[in-house]
Amino acid sequence: MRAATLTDHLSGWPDHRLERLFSLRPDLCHPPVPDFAALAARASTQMSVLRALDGLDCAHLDVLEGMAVLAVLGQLSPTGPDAGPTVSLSRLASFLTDGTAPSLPGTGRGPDEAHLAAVGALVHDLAEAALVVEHATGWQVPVPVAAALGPHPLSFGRTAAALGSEFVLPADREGVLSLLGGEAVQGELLARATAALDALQSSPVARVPEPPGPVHEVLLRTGLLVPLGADRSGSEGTLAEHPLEAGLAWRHGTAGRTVHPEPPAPSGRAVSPALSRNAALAAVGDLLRGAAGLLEALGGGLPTLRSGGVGVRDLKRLADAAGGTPEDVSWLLELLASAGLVVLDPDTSTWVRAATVPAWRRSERQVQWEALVAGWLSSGRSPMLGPVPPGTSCLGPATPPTAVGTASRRALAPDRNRPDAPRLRVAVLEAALEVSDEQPGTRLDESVPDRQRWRGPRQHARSAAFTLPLLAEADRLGLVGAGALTAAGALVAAGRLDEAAAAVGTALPAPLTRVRLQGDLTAVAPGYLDPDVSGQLATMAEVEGDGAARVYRFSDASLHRALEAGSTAEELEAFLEDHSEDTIPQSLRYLIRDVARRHGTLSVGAAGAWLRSDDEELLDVIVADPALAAARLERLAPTVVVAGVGPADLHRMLADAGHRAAYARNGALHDASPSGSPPRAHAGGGTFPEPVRAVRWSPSEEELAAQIARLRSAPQPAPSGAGTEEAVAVLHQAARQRTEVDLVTVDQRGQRQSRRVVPLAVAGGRVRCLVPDREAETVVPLHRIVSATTV
Amino acid sequence: MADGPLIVQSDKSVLLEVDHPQATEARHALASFAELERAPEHVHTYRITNLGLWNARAAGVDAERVLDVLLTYSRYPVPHALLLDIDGTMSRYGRLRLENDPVHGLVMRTDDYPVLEEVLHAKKTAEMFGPRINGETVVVHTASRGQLKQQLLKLGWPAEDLAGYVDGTPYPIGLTEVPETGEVLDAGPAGAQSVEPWRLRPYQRLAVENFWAGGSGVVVLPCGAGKTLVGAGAMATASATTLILVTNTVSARQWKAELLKRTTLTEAEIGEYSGSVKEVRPVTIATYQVLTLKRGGLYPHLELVNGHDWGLIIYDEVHLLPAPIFRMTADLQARRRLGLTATLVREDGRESEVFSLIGPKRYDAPWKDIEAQGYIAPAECVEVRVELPRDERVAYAMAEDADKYRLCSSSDVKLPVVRSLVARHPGEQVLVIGQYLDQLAELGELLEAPVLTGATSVAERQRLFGEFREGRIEVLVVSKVANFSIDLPEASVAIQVSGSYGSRQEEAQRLGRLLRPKGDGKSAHFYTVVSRDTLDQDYAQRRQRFLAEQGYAYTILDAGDLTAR
Repeated sequence: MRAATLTDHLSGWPDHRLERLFSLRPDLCHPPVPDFAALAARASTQMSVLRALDGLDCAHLDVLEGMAVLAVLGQLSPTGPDAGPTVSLSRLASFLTDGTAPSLPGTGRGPDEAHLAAVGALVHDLAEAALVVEHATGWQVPVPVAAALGPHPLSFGRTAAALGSEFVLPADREGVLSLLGGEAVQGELLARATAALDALQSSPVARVPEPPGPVHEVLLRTGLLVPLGADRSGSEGTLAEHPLEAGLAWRHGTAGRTVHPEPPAPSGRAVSPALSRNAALAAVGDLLRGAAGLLEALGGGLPTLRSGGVGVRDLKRLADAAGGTPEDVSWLLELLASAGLVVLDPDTSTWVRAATVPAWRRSERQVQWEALVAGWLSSGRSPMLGPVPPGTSCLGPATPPTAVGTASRRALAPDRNRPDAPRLRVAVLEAALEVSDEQPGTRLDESVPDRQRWRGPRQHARSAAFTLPLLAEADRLGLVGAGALTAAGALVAAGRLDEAAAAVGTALPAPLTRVRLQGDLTAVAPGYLDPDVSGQLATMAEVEGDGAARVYRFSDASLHRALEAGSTAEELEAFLEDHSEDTIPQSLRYLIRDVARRHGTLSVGAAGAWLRSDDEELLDVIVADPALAAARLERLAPTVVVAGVGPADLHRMLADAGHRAAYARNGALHDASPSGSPPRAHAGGGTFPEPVRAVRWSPSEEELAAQIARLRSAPQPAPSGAGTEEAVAVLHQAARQRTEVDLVTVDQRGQRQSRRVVPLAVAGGRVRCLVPDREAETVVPLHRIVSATTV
Repeated sequence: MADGPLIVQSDKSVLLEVDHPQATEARHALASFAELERAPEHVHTYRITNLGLWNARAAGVDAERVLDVLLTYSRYPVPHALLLDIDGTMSRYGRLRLENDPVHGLVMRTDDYPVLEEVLHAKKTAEMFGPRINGETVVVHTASRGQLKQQLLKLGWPAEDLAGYVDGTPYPIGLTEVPETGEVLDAGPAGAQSVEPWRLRPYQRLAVENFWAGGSGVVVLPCGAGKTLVGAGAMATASATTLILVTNTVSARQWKAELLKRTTLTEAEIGEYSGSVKEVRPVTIATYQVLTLKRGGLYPHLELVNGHDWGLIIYDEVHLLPAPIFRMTADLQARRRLGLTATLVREDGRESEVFSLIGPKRYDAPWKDIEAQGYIAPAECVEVRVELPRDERVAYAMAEDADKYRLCSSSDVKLPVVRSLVARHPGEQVLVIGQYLDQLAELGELLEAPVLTGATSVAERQRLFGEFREGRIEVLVVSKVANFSIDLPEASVAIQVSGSYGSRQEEAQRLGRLLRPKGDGKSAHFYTVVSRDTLDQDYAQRRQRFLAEQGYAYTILDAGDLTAR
């Protein structure tokens, strides 16, 4: 009898179960699938299964892996308690214990009720995601799912048969020990062998040095380790695997671990809310100040290297100008680029301030903050803070190796792009929110990695390296303070950025417009100064120090600068009178007047053309002529007038007004006036880039309904039993057991071919198999396979 | 947190808003661990330094208290990194302790095994240790006590010196405090000498108590706040033979006079050890100069320090302590040491040696606080700018760099200005201070005042000072010699016409001359006359910054304004 396929199962599901499936695995209906066969095929693809597995937490994954192990065991002993491809719930529950509980197989005592119910609920969840299917005899893990789980579910090795080992292994722990005893292993060597066996339970593959040590030798001799061949990672020695049977015996015939449906509680240490708040608000202040300072320093633009990114020397120069370390500046630069405040000018290949900067600068501080946080959330860049360890090698089978280890440390370099960065950020924040809800003030650097490991063990292996750097980034943004999630951080994690900004806004005092002027020629702004006032002050005094307050020091040079910028001494004094709590100290007033007195003894100006005449009355007439107003004439001396337009224009305008002027001999006709108006920066409004919502796409109700309707109306595929899905399942099965199958394929000309093969591996859309007749291996693409039947 | 008087900056400075209602309590809390850097009218700047934090630890202030002060009084959130840094820095003090072990003698102990390992293996300190007793204890060569402390401070693990002190030869010394009622508190044989009522001021008493409790260390008091009395108080508490190290002979005589007046000591019990006299008495006052005299590669007078069983060594003007004295002090770690100074800031940046060799700061009173209590006269600083005549400007512009300052600062146009300034203060005691002798001679002639320079003999110097003090001379023209440790109680006006390179100390000293309590509570005046648009003015700007940062009112006038009034 043909076993029911996934297609059969899915087509038998009621609508609400399908809806649930689509919401659990949205990729199954995006884009919409035409019929149930396609749905089943998609649900069986490696990509989709891996994605679904990535979403499983520790408990679900343990249950699923436990089922996979039991399925393998079932095929091992066709007459034993695990016979058959399906697994019963009670068998599963009693298997998923740590081996010390009394519910050992064969004792006749079943697992306790609560455990059974918990496992049942977990299995039910897995069934909803179509990761296990229910048969009359029990539960079954579909072959693609089992394949995606990898060769070592629950850290068990492969079977001795699959490893090509001929040893007969004992069935229980005592047997293993007596096996070791038979090899005269005792004393310290026995203790080391036991420790080695314990270690093999969490990692069944071991590296055997050359020559093997005494422990390795014993384990290899007894078949507790099976050599695999040379270690491909290039180091000395060979690899060896601990067979499933041996592991099972060592673990008392159980999984060796129990299933906890609830995540572990966050660690006990907590940060005081006041401390956390203080740290976060200080960080917000620092962040905004740093960002404003960097934007200020970025006036001249920042060139990119040919290979992308900003050079170390340019970065250092910028850091010196902005008053920070290159690391800080590099991070801020990334952040500002993410927030769209620094953009790459494609014409000059330099990073320049965006047109939105003035608006950002003038907006309220919580708005500034919101823009930066929004930029951070949507940033597709891998974290810039902290060293990114190259230890992200625990890559899932389908994920292409990310260039984490080799990513350059250059700021704004394109190779730091990481499409899943926004999701990583949200995941960290969500985990932080979750643990902080359970225990307010918990230290995130411990509890978040723990929670993420539990929440998605498979994903965590790949993203673990980013968690702490991301938390460090959140710390700089004030989402995390002193290691704990802040109120603003909680709101951001809940996706309520605007409320978070409002909360931050209430904690930020209103900008000041007045400074304290002091006799030591300083102006102290005891807090955040209105950007307009601080801009003005910065032209007439040097900023000293760094912190929430600003100290401006007046000096000869700084006041000269202000005067050169076009202010007069009176204007400077008036400005200071207006923006000071105090009267101007006598010494400062004296300094301003003294500098002004000396300023402008020599002055330089710009003129388009000059006009000279010994006839002063003629010049009087010309300067007074309203028709020549457009020439912007200015009398510098009784006999000299300068014009704001070039010589040619002035000549023409004078002619129009009835004056014939001659070109001066030495003043060669040289039109200095620019041909057009200078390119003006695009006057930007106050629009900042919208934050990208970094949540996974999920189908709306309408989309769900449409999808289900489409499935229902599609013709039911004939239960031919020869579908690709089935063939692949048969091949997977055969590859595990190394059994022969009859394979029908089509060649390029459409000719059917039938041959008998032993599949070795199914991966990447191809099946590698051994042709026994020819004693040769061949590789067949899956799409050429018509059917595969077990012999 | 919303509205405190402090603003804690990321760069480890702390701003204090003076007008804030909580300013005084915040200042007192802050002063225990941060150094006052600038004290202009409205916002004072304190700086948190490692030394300051360790000083605080030595005074029993722990990190928790420091963080609490910052968080309590801060107006804005305090940068978290700063809090962590403070905590980390303070925890480094006292991890290593120098103790006296009954069996092994001087030992270094720790509860922190890795720290001990680190210093045992550090190149600079490795040789100073004897055998290791156990994991936490190691023997220290007695002679290395001072050097070791110096090096440990450099390594960032300042040691707490609990090894105690030798008592020295006991010698009774008492204070002759006379309360205003006339009742003699501490009746001694000399009690009859002093007739005017006096007693230790509260802050002086506190300084003495703090010093004694700490064992060794530095007391910081502004000029005119009575440092000598703190020394006398410490001597009375120690009641042991005392060596006092001072900057010069004049200062030594003043110490002697003051001690005769304030203590039970008699003329015969106080010895002077200087270039001219070499007396060794139970209380001996020696000058730095004679001790650091080097002959044939040896210091012949070091015997004075090492060869006697002093119970207390007092260092006057610690900020001027010359390097050889430091080296000498390194060998004196078993004796009680009291440093007296107006400022811990040293021009040579050797603050850390003062910390490790003399000891941590034991008392510090903010200058302005003492002024507010009425013990120091407030001073008004005025800079008068004169315009150089055209020919002098040209000469100045063309002069070699080395001559420029002399040209502009000793211009003759300053002379009438000085005269009119003197004329503004009839009946007051006026000091005119300058650097160049010919300029001083001209001024003396113009003002008909005696001129006092380095060439003046000590006897003549003391005679002139005496007459000035008694009011028989109103105007005195002095050169640089007046800078250090002389006492001119009644000078209320100083006019500086030239001075070298405007160092911070020089300013403090010059102003110190004026900051003596006045009977009538009138404010003192400090004038500087500078030539406009020259180096003189550049130096004046530095001076202005320093004085304004010290909180003095500073005005700038043109010479024209002065004569017009």
